[in-house]
Amino acid sequence: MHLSAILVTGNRYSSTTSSADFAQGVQQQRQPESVSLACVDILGQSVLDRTVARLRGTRVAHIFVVASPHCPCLPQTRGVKVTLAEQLAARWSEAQRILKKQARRGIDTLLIAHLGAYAEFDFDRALNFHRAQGQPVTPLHDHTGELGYWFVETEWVKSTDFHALPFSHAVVRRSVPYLVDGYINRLANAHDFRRLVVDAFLGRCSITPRGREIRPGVWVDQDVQLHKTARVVAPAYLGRNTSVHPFAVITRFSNLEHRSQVGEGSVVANASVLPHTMIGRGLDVSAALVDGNEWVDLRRNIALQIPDPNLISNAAVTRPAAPLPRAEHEAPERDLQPAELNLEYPGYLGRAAGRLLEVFKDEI
Amino acid sequence: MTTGKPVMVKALPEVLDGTQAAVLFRELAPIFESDHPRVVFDFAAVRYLDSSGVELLLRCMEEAMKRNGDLKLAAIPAPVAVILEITRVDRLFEIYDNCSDAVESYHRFPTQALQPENVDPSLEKFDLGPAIGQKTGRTEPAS
Repeated sequence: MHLSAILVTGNRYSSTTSSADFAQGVQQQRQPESVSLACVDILGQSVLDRTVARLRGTRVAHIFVVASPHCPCLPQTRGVKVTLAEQLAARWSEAQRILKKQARRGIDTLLIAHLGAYAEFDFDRALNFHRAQGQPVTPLHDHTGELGYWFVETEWVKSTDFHALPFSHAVVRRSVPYLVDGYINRLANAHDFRRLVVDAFLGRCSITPRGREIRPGVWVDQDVQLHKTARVVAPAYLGRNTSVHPFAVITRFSNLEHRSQVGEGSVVANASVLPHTMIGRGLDVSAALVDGNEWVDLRRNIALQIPDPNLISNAAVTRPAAPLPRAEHEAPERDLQPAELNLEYPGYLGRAAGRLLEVFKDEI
Repeated sequence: MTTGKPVMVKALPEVLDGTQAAVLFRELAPIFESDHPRVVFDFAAVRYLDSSGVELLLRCMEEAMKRNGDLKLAAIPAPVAVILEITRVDRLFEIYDNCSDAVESYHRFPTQALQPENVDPSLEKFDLGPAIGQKTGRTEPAS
């Protein structure tokens, strides 16, 4: 029995109201397409990476990843073949090409996943269910519906003029779905992302933060710069190469992903700071997801671009370090320039940091 | 009970960045130089506010306070409210849903807050004891 898997990254969905015209009149560079949250680091590793790692622990022989070129962290693992395509439709065409090629090479069954959702399921049990049903496609469901995971028999692909990816509801309607009873998070929006972080801290899913647990509930990855006057209150995660400046406070299920920085006197509570994000001085980051200069306010359910480096900014270019194979008919990737960091902060932010110093001086 | 001092309502521009903030501050200077300036900033049209805009608000507040006046904010759109919250400035200002509420708040006599119906009932549990000179009926233990 030969098995392969194709993981196709999706686009980011959003249930938030976007306030793009908030930054009207101010020059800003918007990403051409929002990268799926499955490609963004969660406690040190993306859902894409974690899914690849889980599949490598099964009988799957070959893993193919078809991702957006804007995906910030692509699996660099040996044996995983990565292909890039800008548009989602192009990614599915590429997946279809791989599927047909795998069928010709004698692979019996493929797992195709549209990431998307983070799902913990017993691979062998699901595969046995698929085999037992004797159907060409078995979709994986949870109690609310399809998860974007399918087991596919390559015999079916060979025998028909197959161009069905992604599987429409009509194609899989006649199939008996496999009901996943493990942990599921659809990662459809920033709320789901935060829920996954909280669930991981609480041990509701099998995600564990990378790095070392230096105190109960406080996880620190490699090369973290934590000022002696900064406070980290559990549960919290500091990703590799993060920097926490004097009198900053990180608390309440907050995670700072790699190379992010928190300025002097800022408080990060119940918030996720995504890779390469710089938080300015004296700020209050609570109930939010901050990605470069994009701020998602989870209380108001709005997303806004804040092109003011005194508040938040993107510290680096988010592109893969090594050139990777590209899908056919793809335009070359544009060179992105790193955002300039303005180190001149207005006086009030410094004063705000000073006020925090006053607040915490008895506890330091 | 109301007071009759006029209240100035200033509608802010769509973009409140460094350039606009400097222009606006010059424009507002005469108002804040008068005695007891009572100003409401109408944010209804504001679509963008950055750290320079926040700095302007703080400077205006400072100027108003120097002359025993006040500055209140009204009709703040959600994205602007986010910026005020991030920078912790929201807690420094009285913020109203609309300008008329903000203006009316100036006309309310401040002691209204001390009326019995406005006193926080949780404060009643703190028994401060009898007033000075009031007889308690207790006998002090002999020392």
